[in-house]
Amino acid sequence: MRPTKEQSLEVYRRMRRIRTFEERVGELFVRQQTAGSMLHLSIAEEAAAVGVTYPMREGDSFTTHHRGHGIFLARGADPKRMMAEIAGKADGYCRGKGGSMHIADRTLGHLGANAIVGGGIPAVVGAGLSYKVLAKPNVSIAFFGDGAMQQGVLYESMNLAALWRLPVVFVCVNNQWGMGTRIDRAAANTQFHERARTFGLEGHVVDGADVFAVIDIAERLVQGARDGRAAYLSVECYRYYGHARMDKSPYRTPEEEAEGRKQDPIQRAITRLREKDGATTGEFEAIDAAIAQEMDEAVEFAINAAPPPVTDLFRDVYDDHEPAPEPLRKRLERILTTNLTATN
Amino acid sequence: MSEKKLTLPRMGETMNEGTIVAWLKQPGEHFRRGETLLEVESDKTNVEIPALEDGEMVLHLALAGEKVAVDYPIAVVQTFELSASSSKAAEAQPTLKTQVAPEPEIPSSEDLPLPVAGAKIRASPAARRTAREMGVNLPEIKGTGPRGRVTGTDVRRHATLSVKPPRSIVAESSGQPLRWGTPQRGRCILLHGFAGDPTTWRRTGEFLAEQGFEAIAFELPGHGSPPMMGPSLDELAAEVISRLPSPPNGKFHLIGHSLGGAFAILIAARDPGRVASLTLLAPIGIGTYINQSFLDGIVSARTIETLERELRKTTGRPLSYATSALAAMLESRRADELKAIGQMMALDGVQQLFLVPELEKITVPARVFFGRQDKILNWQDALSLPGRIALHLFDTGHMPHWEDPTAVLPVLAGFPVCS
Amino acid sequence: MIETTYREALGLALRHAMMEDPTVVIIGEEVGAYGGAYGVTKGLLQEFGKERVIDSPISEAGFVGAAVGAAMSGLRPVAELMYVDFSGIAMDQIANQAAKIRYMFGGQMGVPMVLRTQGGTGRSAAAQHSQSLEGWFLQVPGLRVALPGTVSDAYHLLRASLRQADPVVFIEHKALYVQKGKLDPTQADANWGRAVVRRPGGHVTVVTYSRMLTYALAAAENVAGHGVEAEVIDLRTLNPLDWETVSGSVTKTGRAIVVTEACLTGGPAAEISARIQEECFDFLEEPIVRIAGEDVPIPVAPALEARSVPTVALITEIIRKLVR
Repeated sequence: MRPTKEQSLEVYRRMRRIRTFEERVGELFVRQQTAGSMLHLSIAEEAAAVGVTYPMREGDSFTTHHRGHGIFLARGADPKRMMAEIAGKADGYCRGKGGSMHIADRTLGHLGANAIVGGGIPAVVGAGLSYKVLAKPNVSIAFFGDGAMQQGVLYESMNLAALWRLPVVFVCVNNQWGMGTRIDRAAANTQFHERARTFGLEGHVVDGADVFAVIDIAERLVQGARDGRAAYLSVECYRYYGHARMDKSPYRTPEEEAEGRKQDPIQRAITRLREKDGATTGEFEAIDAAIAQEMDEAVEFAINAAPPPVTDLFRDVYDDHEPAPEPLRKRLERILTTNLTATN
Repeated sequence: MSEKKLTLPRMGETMNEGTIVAWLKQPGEHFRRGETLLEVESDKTNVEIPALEDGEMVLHLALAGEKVAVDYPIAVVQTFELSASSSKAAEAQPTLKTQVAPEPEIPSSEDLPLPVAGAKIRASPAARRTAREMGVNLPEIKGTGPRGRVTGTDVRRHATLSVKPPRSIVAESSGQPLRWGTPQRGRCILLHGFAGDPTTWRRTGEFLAEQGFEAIAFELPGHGSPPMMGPSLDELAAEVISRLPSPPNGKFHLIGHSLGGAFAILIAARDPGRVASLTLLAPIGIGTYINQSFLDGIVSARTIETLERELRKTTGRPLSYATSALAAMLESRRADELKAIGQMMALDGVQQLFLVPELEKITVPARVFFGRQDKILNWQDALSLPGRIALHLFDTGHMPHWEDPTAVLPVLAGFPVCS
Repeated sequence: MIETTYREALGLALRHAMMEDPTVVIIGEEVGAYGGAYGVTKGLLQEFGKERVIDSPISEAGFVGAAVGAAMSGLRPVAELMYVDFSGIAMDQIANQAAKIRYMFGGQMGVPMVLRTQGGTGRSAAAQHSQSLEGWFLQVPGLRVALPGTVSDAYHLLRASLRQADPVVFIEHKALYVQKGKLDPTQADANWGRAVVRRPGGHVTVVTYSRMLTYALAAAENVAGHGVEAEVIDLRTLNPLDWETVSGSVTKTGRAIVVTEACLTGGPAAEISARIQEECFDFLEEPIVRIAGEDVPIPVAPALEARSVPTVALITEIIRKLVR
């Protein structure tokens, strides 16, 4: 890709939105305004999100792992509704039922973030199958972390996608750490793209600190997938923080962290924009300020939003037209009162 | 016809005396061959004593609770003339002799200790519920279930035999009308349905009273204590009219349910001067279809279970009936008369009364209430009534006023006025 | 009205559904060229082509997961899991994905798929191919569970499952495939979610489903000769569960027997019995009795296999003991 300055600034802007969003989510957590105890940040993984989604179009779909805020933002998510979902509010994307690990939005093609490692991967095979059967020109992309590389369902999915020639791309956001286990303690061969090739997929690896390199390879693989050639891509990056917000990663050495944190895709983009496109501090500051305001508003929105009504507990277990499960208290009252007095 | 003395039969070789547990036929009551007349407790078990021929109870010589020696006279009965074929049998057994009603087999019941008050009683949940509802003491009952467990059937049998239904029910089904309220805003006459009784109007009556009306619920002929065998429904209607009060202001709102609705139409047609308005709840006589199996079932119901099963058909939703109320209903009903009325009402699922011509003649304001889940009649029949008759539909079965009083009664109390 | 078999009724239901709805596809092992391990999908590949009758490699998590994704993206897939015993391999996709997607995502999307599978004893298929695992799925809110016990239901319950908005685990019984019966494709015995009283009776209620229905009816016939009238209820679906029919019957009879092929401990019979106890307590004349599979793996020897699950003789005996 030979991007114009405007395109490059837009790429920078998308990455900065993710970074600022994740920082604000972190604040939300510290202010005890998040609903869940589970919060996984994708700081320093912005290039994977922005780069791979760059060639995606309307109608394309994707699933993510539980560290997927950035990917969804890059596909156009509204930070207000995301933040509200993370805070467990009724205005969230999933009415406050899913939270950070289960954000989804059908209209934007987000078939769901998943908290089972590898659990959301076969869904893109099914989505790809739909596009093939229904003759739609769309592609479906599975995003997952390096932890999923050791899950069997990934390989079942890779095999089916290659076998059935589906418009599917598998993207491993390889941040080197699956919780407290570095990839070299999880796999003897960490060249994951080689595995994909043995299934008959196009397998590639790209530097996740270079967003423009990610865009280049993603454009090629996504187009190939649209033509029925399923593909795999490892985006190599480094997990800036611990596994979850409270994790200080004592299992990593300070030296390793210092080295890893040098691979910051945003800093790389800034340097490139300054050197190649002559972007000025003022231009970055203007973008950053607008984003800061947007994200502050999102935080306020989430904090002020109403929690879901208690009756929502029983909603959406089944389709709206079906009877909802009977609340336990109601059931007990029925059993202990009505049922014991048989009178007219 | 001949009057006879009934003596206490010997119901076992060792039996010398017995205690009258309960009389099931009261003086004045008719009985058919095979019906239980009384229950007697001997040294071992309770025994039901059936009638060996048709007749009428004249007088009890021994009362419930009395201990009587075998062959001692316990009642005077009148037996009816018998046909030639059966008179021989009657002669052979001029008085009621020992015939022990078949009892369910009780394994080694003699070894079972009778339950002691205060001790743990082995009783099924159904027995406990039934006992609670009927006000029966479980320790008094000898269980016929496994290991002497008291069953629901044991309790019901015990209750029907030894315990009178609660006082209120007896009083209310003794043929006297039930009354509520004072006639500040007017007077309402309530006529119940087939096999029903005035107590079905209780909620309605109370509501009307709150609204400033006096409400009087009559027992229809053939449904309670005053024996009444009218040859036709018309004459039955005349009978009802004769029982109506003559209020000073002369007029009343007439409300009839089901069969009572048919009576109401007949009354309004014959005596229009006394009727202020006519309200028909799921009335008979305006269509052709009727659920024959319900009619037959009601008429032939002999047990609480069968009666309950039939009554469930009247409502749009499952409802439970108090066992005591069912027992009272069974006790007070007159099966023959019900059967006769049932035959006048319907034949093979077709209503035999068509009162639409009468209804067309009536000029007082009239309305019809129906439940759309009515399983006894077709509510759609009401659609072909004259247009000036208002139709109100509810989400109920055959008893709108009883099933959903909150929705129905406020509408009911808004009586139409003559324009 | 036609006379057909359980197997053919299932095939016919699939065929009719595929004719009516072009988004219905079948995914599974040996569903195409082979015609289905039990022959249910025979002929469908020829009629509808390989785009809609999709042979999957042996990859249960993969193809069941693909069916979940397809259901979220405009298709109405029927995934065929050859044996319900294999559901463990695909359980994450069934229990964590298919069942929870509607709820987790706030009702934005559902998973209108049918997981066709089969279970039960009767063909000496041994411990890993003979289980009755419907209880596993009952523990997961969001999954519907249907178990046809008659030829008519083989057709109509499958058609109804293919009209559900939520994922249905549809468990056939391997011993019923050859069972013959009458089928009117235009008329189901009851709506989806309703139980059917297969034999009315006033003395005892026998609640069952799937193959045990046949056994319960045979037992009811046996006791009828002794003056005992057993009311046999075919639940047809365990989720939704038609509670009204069960409680209505038990309230009437005061006696309840629950018969399942699934093993006793923690099984569906336990759930149904507990509900009867809670909701019909005041009407019970006898303890609720469960007649269920033995708490053992299913052995291969036919003589042992037949004794690992309830028999007609046992059901007959228990009915007679309960109604004295």
